[in-house]
Amino acid sequence: MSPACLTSLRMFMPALLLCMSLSAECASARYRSASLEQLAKSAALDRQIAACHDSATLRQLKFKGSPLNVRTEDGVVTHIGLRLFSDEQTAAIANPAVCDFLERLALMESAMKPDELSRFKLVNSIEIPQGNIKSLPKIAADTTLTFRLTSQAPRNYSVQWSKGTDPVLKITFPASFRMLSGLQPNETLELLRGKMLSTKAAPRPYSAPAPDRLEPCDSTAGRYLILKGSQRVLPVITDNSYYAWGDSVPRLLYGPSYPVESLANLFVTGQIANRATAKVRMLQYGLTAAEFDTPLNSLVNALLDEGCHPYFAIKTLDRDTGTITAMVEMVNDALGYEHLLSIKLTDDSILRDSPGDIEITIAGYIPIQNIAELYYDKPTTNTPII
Amino acid sequence: MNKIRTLLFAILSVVVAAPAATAAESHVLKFTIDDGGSRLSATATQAIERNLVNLLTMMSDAQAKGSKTLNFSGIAITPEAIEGINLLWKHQPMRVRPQKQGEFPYIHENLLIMQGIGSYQIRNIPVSLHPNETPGKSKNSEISVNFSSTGTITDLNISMERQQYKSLMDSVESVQDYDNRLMLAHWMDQLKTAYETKNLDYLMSLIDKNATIITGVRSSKPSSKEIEFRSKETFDYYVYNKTQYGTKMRRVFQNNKEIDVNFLDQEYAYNAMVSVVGPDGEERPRYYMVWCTQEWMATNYSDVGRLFVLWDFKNPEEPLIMIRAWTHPDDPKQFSDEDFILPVD
Repeated sequence: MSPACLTSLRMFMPALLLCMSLSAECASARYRSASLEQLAKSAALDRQIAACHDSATLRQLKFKGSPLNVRTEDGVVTHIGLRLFSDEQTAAIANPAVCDFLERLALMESAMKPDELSRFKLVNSIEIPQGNIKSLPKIAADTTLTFRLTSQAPRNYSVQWSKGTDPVLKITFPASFRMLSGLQPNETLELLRGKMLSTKAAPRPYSAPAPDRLEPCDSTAGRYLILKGSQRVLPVITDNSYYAWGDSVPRLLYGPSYPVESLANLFVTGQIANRATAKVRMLQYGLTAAEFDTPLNSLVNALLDEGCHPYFAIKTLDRDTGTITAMVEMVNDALGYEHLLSIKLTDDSILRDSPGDIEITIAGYIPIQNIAELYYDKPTTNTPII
Repeated sequence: MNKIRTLLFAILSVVVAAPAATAAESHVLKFTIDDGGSRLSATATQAIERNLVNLLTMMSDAQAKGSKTLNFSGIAITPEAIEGINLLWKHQPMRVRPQKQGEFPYIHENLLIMQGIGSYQIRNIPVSLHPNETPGKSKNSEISVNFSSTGTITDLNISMERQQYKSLMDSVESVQDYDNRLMLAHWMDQLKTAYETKNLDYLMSLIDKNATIITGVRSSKPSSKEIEFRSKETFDYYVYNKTQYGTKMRRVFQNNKEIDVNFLDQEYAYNAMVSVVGPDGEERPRYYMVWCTQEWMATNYSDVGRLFVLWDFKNPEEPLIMIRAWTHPDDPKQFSDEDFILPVD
């Protein structure tokens, strides 16, 4: 190919790619979930959305005169709803999932028939003690009203618009991730798998704790410092992190001499560079499991980026074989779920900065908003019949 | 490993310096030696006793005097152990602790084989720690001391007290139990999803072949004239086996376009009478139970009731429903594990 041809190709390539992109988008919009696609079709927005090729045109979209909020990521539609909140309000509310849910709900109420709405499992989960949900777009647009979001994480949310002290509209709903996200179980897990595979494996930035917050601790392995955090249900399930003894600037403990503390640091802080590969087995709906490999830090970063809070606990330590089993909870109280990770480390090479594997079974998005009493145990008189 | 327990009553009278202005105390050390089948030589035993007693005496004396440094002369100890003890001393000096006021200090301990033949440990030696950052305040703890095969001290650590250790072991068992309870939440969510997606095959795969299913429906019959129900509603209960329940649910799934189920206010417990041996060789509870409020909202029928679900965690990877029992909220009868004879095989 001549230099002139190459120059021409370089000039026209961006336009060519843009045309290809537009034609693809015009053909059909792609959606993150089946429920979003259903909503777009019920509201007759599918073609309009597919015709939009940037965020500016998406912002022009309206439904029956009301402005819409439509977002895309990498060409995939991730949110459709009536615009109830400005960008500033969304940032101030600091819970984008709740804002998205209310916007989606407002559009569903406007665009769907009752029998269609029932498919979205919402009718019986939402309570409206004050006002009419049909007036939600009008009320949200009224700048004289004050908005308040109340959270009783991990159980319920309550949103209220008031004029002075008089409530105009009040909506309560459970902090159910499935409901707030509008995703079906396997859709949520597929998204999670995608995040674990695509998130960067770089360790999170290290910030040394103030030395006076560290407490000396002795174990059979030796002496070290501990940054005590919070406990979850049991005293041994904590977000503690561990630091080497004797350093002027605290350094995260990591090495084969301290396998349990090192594992805790890997999952709780995500700040340790390592060459570990997570051999993941993710439980899915229908007694199936997705199996895949990903850098351990990609997995940890994906879960921490989701807003999860990590807790670690040792289950077993076999000193003869060196095998460690542990559990990690990644808890998202705001969205009423947690990921439960069962960890198994049979080879401590990853603690020696060498490549190695760590087995992780994940039960993802376990709903916790419906748990009233995890320990409802009482003395039993049941006698086994042999 | 066959452990040969040799009880040595090596009673040593040790004079350690008491706190200033008080009389000296006698410490009687009593060792129970577990030598792991490799009998420790008398020379090594004497060296361990001598070095330990000298170390404890020296440290107790230094703490009483408020000394910031330690003198290890006359004690067979490695440089690494000296460095570790000195570091420890900077933060929290310690002394041997009498177990009861007014009684001779009495230490009853095991000599444990450690990390293969040739390394030993004595632990649970009661001490009082006197942290420098909290002058005048002390806290009770225990230390462990490691020895080489010739009785040279190789390390000293503040260890967990017996009760603390027991608590930790209990907690480790509790972690597995806690893990099971969270997985129970996962499986209850799977059950909800099976209903909502009307996936009969999956629903059946969650139910044990010998399961008992009790369901109820609102009765259309008028209340009895003789006995009037407090609630105007009456309910009929039916008992199904797995096959019968499958037939029923096939019909329910076909007749309802939409099914929405919520399991609210879930309460979890395990049956304490039946256990199963896990892959780690440890016994653990076999049956876990959930009580909850079930909201059933289908196209053609809706109700709210109390649900009792008992899961068999014999295979924790794929627990199975043994009992699913529904009752009306007004019915004083609430099912539990005590109503059923649970398999133990």
